[in-house]
Amino acid sequence: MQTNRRSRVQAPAPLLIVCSLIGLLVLSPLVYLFIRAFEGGGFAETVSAIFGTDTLVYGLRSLGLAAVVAVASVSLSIMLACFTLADDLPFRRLCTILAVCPLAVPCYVGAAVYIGVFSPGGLLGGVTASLGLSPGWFSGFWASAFVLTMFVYPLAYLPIRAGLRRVDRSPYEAARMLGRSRLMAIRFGVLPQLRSSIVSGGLLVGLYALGEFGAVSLLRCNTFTRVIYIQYESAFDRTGAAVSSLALVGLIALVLLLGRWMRGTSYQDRGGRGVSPLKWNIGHWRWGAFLVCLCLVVLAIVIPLLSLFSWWGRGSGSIDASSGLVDPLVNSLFLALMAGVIVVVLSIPIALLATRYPSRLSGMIDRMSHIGFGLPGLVIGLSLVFVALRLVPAMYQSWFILILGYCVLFLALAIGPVRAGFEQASRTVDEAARTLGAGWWRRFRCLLLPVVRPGLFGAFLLVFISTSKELPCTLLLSPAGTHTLSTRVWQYTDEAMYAEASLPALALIFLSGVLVAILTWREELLEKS
Amino acid sequence: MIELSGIAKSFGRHPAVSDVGFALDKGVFAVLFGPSGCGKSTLLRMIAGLERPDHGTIAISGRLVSGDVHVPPESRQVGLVFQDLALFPNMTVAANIAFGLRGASGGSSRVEEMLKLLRLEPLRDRLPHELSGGEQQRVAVARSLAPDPDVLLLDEPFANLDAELRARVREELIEILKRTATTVIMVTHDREEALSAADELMVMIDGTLVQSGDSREVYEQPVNKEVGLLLGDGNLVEGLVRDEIVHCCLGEFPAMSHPDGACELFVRSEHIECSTDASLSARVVGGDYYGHDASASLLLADGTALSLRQAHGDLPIIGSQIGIRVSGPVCIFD
Amino acid sequence: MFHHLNKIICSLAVMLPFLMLPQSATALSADAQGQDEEIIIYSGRKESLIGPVIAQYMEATGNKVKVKYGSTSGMTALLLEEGDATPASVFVAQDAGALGALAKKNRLHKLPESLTGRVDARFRSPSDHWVGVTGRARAVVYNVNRTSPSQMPTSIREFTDPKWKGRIGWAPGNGSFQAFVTGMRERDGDEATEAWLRGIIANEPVVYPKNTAIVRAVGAGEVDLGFVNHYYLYRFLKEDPDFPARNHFMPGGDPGSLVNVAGVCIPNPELDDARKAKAMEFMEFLLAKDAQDYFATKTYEYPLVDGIQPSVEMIGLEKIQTPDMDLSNLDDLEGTLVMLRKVKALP
Repeated sequence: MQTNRRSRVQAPAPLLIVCSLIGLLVLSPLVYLFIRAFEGGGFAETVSAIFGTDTLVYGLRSLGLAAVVAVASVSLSIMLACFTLADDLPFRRLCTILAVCPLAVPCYVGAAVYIGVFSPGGLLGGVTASLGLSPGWFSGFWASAFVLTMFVYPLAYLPIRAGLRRVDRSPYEAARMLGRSRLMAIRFGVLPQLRSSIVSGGLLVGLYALGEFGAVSLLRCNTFTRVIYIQYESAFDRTGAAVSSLALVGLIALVLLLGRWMRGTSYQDRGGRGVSPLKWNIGHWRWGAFLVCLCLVVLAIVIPLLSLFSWWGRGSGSIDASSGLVDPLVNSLFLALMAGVIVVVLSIPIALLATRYPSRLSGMIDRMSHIGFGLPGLVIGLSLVFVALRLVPAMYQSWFILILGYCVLFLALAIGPVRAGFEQASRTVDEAARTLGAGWWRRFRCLLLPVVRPGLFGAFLLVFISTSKELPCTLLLSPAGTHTLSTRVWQYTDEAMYAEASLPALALIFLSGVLVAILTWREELLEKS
Repeated sequence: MIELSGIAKSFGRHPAVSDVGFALDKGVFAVLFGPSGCGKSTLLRMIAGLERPDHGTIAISGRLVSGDVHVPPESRQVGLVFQDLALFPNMTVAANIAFGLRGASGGSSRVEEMLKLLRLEPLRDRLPHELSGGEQQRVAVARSLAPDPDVLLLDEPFANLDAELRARVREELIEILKRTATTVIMVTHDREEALSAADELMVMIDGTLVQSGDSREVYEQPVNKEVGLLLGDGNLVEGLVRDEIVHCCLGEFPAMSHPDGACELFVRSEHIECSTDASLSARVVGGDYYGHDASASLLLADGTALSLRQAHGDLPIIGSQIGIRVSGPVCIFD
Repeated sequence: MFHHLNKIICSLAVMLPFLMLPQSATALSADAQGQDEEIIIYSGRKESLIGPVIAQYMEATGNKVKVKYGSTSGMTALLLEEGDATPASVFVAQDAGALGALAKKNRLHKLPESLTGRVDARFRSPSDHWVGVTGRARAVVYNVNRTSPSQMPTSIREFTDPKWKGRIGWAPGNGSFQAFVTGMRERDGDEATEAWLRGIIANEPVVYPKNTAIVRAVGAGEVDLGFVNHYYLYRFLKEDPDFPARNHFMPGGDPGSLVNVAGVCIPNPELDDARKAKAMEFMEFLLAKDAQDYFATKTYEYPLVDGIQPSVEMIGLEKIQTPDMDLSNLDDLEGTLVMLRKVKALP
């Protein structure tokens, strides 16, 4: 009742203005698509030309892929979160850190690695051949689903683990006291509290699968993004591409609606009271659980690293790729740090608006940012080209525009964790500080920041990793004469020069991997103290 | 010191506070009393500046803070102790207290003073979650008192304490606050707390200030039956006024300057007494024992139910017939 | 210790972007004031295949060049979106189809006869909007131990014969293969091309993701022959001279010996004269002896300027009887993709 009443308070004007500006930024792809789709007047014609049964099949396949990858990732993440939060998992901290690391492997590298591993002469080529599988068997829908799940599931794992750590044990205990079995108590006492994290994680993974192109095309699974790519890059039909992209926006909207329906009512508000966290042990299955974690690590980290090292070894005599590695490394680091910091900073006012003054605007910005995340990087890149050339032509093809592109792409990644952090912050604490004469900056720095810091770090981590491996938008918007690690990797894999590609790919993975390890370790330490 | 007039605030179509006005002198300990949801917390938040009134003005120490202008809470010199205390979880006791002192001269000596005043010295380096409920309470008050606010607002500050601790902490704090001569407005829905603490008792019902004054006066002469029942047990019986005399089942009482016609009489339970020489006779149908006092339910011959409360424990036996009389003032309402 | 670590990480995270800001700022200002100094090239050709030539150019002329690398198709989409505002003065494309698409949308500046005239009319735009730099021929790579040139058919059309059942490797997802199919459609018509595709599929070809995979598979004897671009073989031969595979070129203007080009153009009809002069200079350089020799010997492509010999291992371009067609018409890739999906060559 009280929160309801207070929520009708009007947000302060500066906050509204800042949020509206950010909203405009994330809205720009949609504006671009509408302009391109309706210019020239051939809209109806294009629509009827594009929407045949083929397109329908692609759309359904895209949705199917998104659903399979989301469900698999969420299940995997829940299991891993349960393992790594249990008190008695062997090598618990190591498992916690390693479980995030697969995100550092770009999907197109992961796909290339697995194609190589299963090809004749690859690591497991002999095994698959003896099973009677034809050389090209690792391709198509299920191969794509496997690769995407392996390298994207941490997008779900991070929020779900954070959510599970915040779960209050009292509803679970109450359910047990009322005579429910352990399973039913989890169903009624724990899952409702986790629902929001599960849905946000699943949404991110699903949307990623919708917009992914590199890995999916390597594995020859034809999704809706392929329709868009063919129209842009093969048929050079911008109107058609815009119409298809709008159709993809429709799919994304469908997924978002589904997410909103599944999220249901939020049970976050505990009125500032402390939470007694749930604690559990795995018991005598703990080595089994460890084995599961180990398998995952082998599949998602060891095999890619081994393959890359073997490629490197194969070509070490003929190439000196390291000469051109320093510049891309510095550029990647610079871009990822900048994008990480800026996206997190941009997500703060939005999270503030969404938690303190929930309104239609905050909901709209949140949804728009998810649309940016679900669209292929190519579309975001081209829309930024369009916007930049019209609004700030002098800045075109500078780092600035590229980072703006990353903001549009990855704002959705940051809003979730930052928002969860803000939900932890008590409103009355802020009001108490106001009555003690503290201005907004002091309240933010001394009271809000310490509480939301884990959320900010989580958001920074996600954006950093995603930026460092992002490709299509980087290719379009990066200044001439510059390389990043991901463009280097792409350049060589595209020409099947795997030996040359291996070194920048390894650098890319280690760059993100080291950061993941340090930050996760650090948060664990903070948690302890 | 603090003056409110014509304050109104509604959330959507639901009016939370309507046309509230009062003025308090410096050093007064005022209690804002009313049932849950009557708008008293909202009124407090408006005084603090956390909400903006739709109408009316608030002036503190002669300065207009709400009205045509809206002074934000951080520049109002108003302290507020929250129901959930809202201590800063990441700061020590001393840091919590020092938070409001930034820029003020002699900050650290003021912290020492507060620690001493509220007997928190040994706890200065603890974090809030390492303190007991009563200790947290004292820290919250010390934090709000440290900047020497013009007005200190307490929003049900003792609600989260258990009964024994609650009485002790309350007495202690009220004693300290009265010693520092701070102007205090405390919100509560606990009648004992309200009556014992208030220099000035203000009763709020459904968003309006119904009655205010000395607590004894309000208790004994409520302006209507709602206020009367809110502050303590009592009996309502129907009566008829004729020629400045009210007639009812309890007998006849003077009804000065009350117009003729039907009315209601309000008699506090403790003002009904067992008496051997009484003209009224009632049957005892139930009783409750509270230690320091006890109550009994009575039934008159004409079917009127009454409650009786008396300090000593030897209550009449249930089922017996006793004589009663009215021993205290009687209030007559329309 | 840990507190120190925290501080170090935090300060690093905050400092690094600012430390690097000057670098990007100089890059920015260089962009702004450097218009008369340096030109920007968009390259759909990978750095490993053109970077050294550009370095040579900068060394030889003292001109400054900045290159933006990407895929040919992606760069084409980018150029279409940028329109006249493009910062690019030259576009190096890996495929004539993309050049043709840009020309059809009037995005290209006409090139002088003096430049285009150096290249055989087959390998340049009939309207002088682009000019080929190197040739990349379609070929059949075969395992010398499993078959021989004498057993090869005279046309790629004849691989539908059941005697090739299970012996062919192909990569229907590969861009060069798709360009070849587009060429075949252009020459033989959709109906015949579709029938040919169905015939090949009836022979149960082994599907590979890329040309290199096919060449490797042919050398390993997994399949007897494969449809590829000619130059991949020579990379294998350089590493292992005994690699048991050779190229076979279909004679007589067969679509199976289509020669596609990597070409250059000026992707902005409104380009100012200063940058145009630089762009011309660069294109001249690509068509001059040094660069052509580089492509011939290092990337094993065919030099297109008269008088430059291809790498010794290769047969001469004049011996490959390419089909007589306008390469600009290779831009109907979408129709090809529709067909490939229709016959289930692509999923």
